[in-house]
Amino acid sequence: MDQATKAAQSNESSVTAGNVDLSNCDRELIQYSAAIQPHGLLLVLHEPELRVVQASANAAAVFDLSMENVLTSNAEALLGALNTDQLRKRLGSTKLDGSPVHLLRLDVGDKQRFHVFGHRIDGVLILELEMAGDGAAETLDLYSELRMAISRLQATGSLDEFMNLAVEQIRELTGFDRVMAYRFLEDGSGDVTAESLKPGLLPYLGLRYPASDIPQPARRLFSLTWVRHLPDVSYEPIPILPETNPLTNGPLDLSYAITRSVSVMYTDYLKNMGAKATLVITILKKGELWGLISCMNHERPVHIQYETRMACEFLGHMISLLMDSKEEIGNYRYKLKVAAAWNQVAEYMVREKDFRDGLTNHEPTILTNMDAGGAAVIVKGDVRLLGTTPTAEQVLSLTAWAATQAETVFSTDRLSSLYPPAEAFQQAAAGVMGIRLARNTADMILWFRPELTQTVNWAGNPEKPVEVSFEGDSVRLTPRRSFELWKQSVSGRSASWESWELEAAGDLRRNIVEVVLQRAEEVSLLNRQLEQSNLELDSFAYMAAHDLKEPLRSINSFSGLLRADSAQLDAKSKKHLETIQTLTQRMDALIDSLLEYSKVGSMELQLVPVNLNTIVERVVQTTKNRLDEGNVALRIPRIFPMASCDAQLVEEVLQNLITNAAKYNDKSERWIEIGYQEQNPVTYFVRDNGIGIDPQHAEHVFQIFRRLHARHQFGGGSGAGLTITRRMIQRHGGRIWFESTPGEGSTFYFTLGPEKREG
Amino acid sequence: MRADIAQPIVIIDDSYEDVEITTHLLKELGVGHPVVHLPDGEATRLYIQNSGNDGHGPRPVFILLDLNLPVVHGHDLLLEIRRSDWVRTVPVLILSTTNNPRDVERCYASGANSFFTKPVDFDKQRRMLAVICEYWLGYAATPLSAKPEAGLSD
Repeated sequence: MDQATKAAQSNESSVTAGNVDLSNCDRELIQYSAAIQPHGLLLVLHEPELRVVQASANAAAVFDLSMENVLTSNAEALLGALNTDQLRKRLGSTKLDGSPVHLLRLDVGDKQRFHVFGHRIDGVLILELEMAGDGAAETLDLYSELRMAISRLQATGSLDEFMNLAVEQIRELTGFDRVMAYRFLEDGSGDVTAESLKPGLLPYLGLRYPASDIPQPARRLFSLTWVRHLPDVSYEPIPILPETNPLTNGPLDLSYAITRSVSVMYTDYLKNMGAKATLVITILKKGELWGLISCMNHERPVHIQYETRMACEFLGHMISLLMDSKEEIGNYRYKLKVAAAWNQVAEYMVREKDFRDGLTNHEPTILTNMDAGGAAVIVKGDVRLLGTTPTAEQVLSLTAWAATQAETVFSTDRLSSLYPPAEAFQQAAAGVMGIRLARNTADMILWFRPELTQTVNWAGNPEKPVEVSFEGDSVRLTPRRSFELWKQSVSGRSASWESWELEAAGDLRRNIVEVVLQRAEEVSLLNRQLEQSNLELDSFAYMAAHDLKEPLRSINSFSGLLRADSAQLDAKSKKHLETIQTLTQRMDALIDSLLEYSKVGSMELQLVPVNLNTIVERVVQTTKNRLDEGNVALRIPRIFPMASCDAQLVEEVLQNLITNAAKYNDKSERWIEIGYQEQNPVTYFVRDNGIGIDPQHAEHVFQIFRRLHARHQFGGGSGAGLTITRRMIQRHGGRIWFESTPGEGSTFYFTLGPEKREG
Repeated sequence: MRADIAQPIVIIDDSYEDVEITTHLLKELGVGHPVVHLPDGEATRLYIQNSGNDGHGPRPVFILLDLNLPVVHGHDLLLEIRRSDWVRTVPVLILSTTNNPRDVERCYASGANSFFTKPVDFDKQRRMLAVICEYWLGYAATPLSAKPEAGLSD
């Protein structure tokens, strides 16, 4: 509670704001007031004989009869035979179970003219006779005025403009001092959003009235009828006699009655506002009570005639119908701009490999043109932030909470009231709108709206809608007298999210889901194609190997035949034939290497938990002879951990590296060490004290068929061993590299999984 | 039991060079069985029909089958051999240039008796053929020259 409120409270020692409100007004059954206003006369008739059951007390004077006689008479006796005939005709042809319908005009005596309205409720017919003015209603003028008003209303470009014109038009039509457009807010309070008033009056525009000013029963009545008129706020109510309906033995329901007497609370309230006469037009939006157009006269009472009220009612209908489209026009430009930006975003999304890049990496982003301070994209715990947002950790906790909310599209303008930790970051995100990308994950996109430290201009202190007065022994609650400006700031709230913004977010969500699904489909198609092409590549490699080898084999064989058979060949020719055979063997080895290389690339990896010690043991067994021959000592200082890998490939990797290490060594005491370093991922190494690698050849070591030594040195080889080794490691997502000092030795390192990226 | 010397060794291979070398090596090894060379699937079918259905020709002692044949693939031919009444039981030794694991798997599944990769090296070829002959002609028993009448076995 702020200082001002406290101060205000201490001034009123006996009453505190908290324990008094207008809730008793909420309970007052204002439709059962059993009285009418003096500009009317009410008869309750029993059909079909049209016998009088109840009547307002002023009927006696108007019909010049005693009240007893009125209550025992019938329509013929009171209205005359002709009028009753006409009435019966109208009753037979008109639907009367709702708002009162104008049935006929009635002259009683020379001077008293009435409009007669009728409606049925609880099995009785209620006739209301409303006094008509002297001058004949200028219906034609009204019609052209209305037509003009409507065409001007249609031409407006925004809701504000529309409402301003609407109140202007109604003031012109009715001649009231003040006409206001009053919009109900979510909590039942209301804002004056447009106003037209006689010069010199204090404007109410922009003021907010607490919910208790128009209590629930009054709001219900407003939504039942289009126009409510109170010609004289200080009227003396005319009672209806007898008070209870003798047919139903209950109170008479006057919900729809035009001339119904209104709540004392209401008239007191109006008096306190300085109103002498009022007319209220209901505005519905999509069938819901949106607000009111409230007309007031401050100088004197005024009775607005039936014809003009009809025009007002008609305008009320038109405003209700047109308003929807006007509100949309107001949003239209904003909406278009957001839609344009998001269309672009959708295109980026299709183009990017990672759809998130499309959302955040290009201009426009999902934040562009959006009335939000920041946005976040959360996928698999990875948070991307745009604009002003809470921290990534705060966003993550928020998504964890939001994932428990069922909706795929959600929003709030008071996040901290639903999710208390949000209080810590409500400056950046008092409100949030979100879309969930999948039902069963916390993947989502969020938009944040900053806190609006809103200032509400209350018409009087909303905490004290009533004042207590003591009249003798009784305590009377009266609506407040003071309508002085009462400022209040509202915290922890953002501007509210419009329904179309939620719709647009829903559209974006569908777009994203579509792209992601399509991506998944593309990936699976690519996988299928890849599988197919791997298969073909595999076959191709074998075919190529076959076709290359066949002639090679024949060359070798026939050279062999020649060498064996031809005694007449000299030694030199035999040597040449031998060379041909050696060359075919080398080519055979090259083809085998290519085939092996192709196989490693296309084969399916069998990734399983593997005991590397078993693999090392096997490699030691298969290379034992060679190592013993070369006098190479093998050092394995410690036990290997389990690894997820393809056992066969890793065995070949180790075998290749150990064979190489043993091969390229010119020391007398040779050794090879196999070990690992505990990093992430685990790094394995094969170290030797061999000839080392000249740094200038570092690039060439892994190139296929690139030999760094003369063919006959170090036992030869196809020159594909390290290339194939590297490919086997790459298939695991790992990499291979080496460190070497020429003349002292080399260490080949390799990993069997992808490096963890920072962040 | 030694195979009937009239039983031929059938080589199904489209490479005349290879067959020439093989024939030469067989002679060198002292193998007395005649060699029948069938260069493709068509020739093989005709051979099976003509020698088989009239029952005149002696059955092969074993068949060397190359996989990479034109028109009808060696594996399909293997299936046809295994469907033929006449040579169903004759050992078929696959000789292929490469040792594609899929081919190996497939051929054994379809009834091949061995799978060899043809070595490029002449000496290795010679050694391999020597082992084949020693095994199939020296140690292993092979089906008789003529298909036994039903009910005559045992």
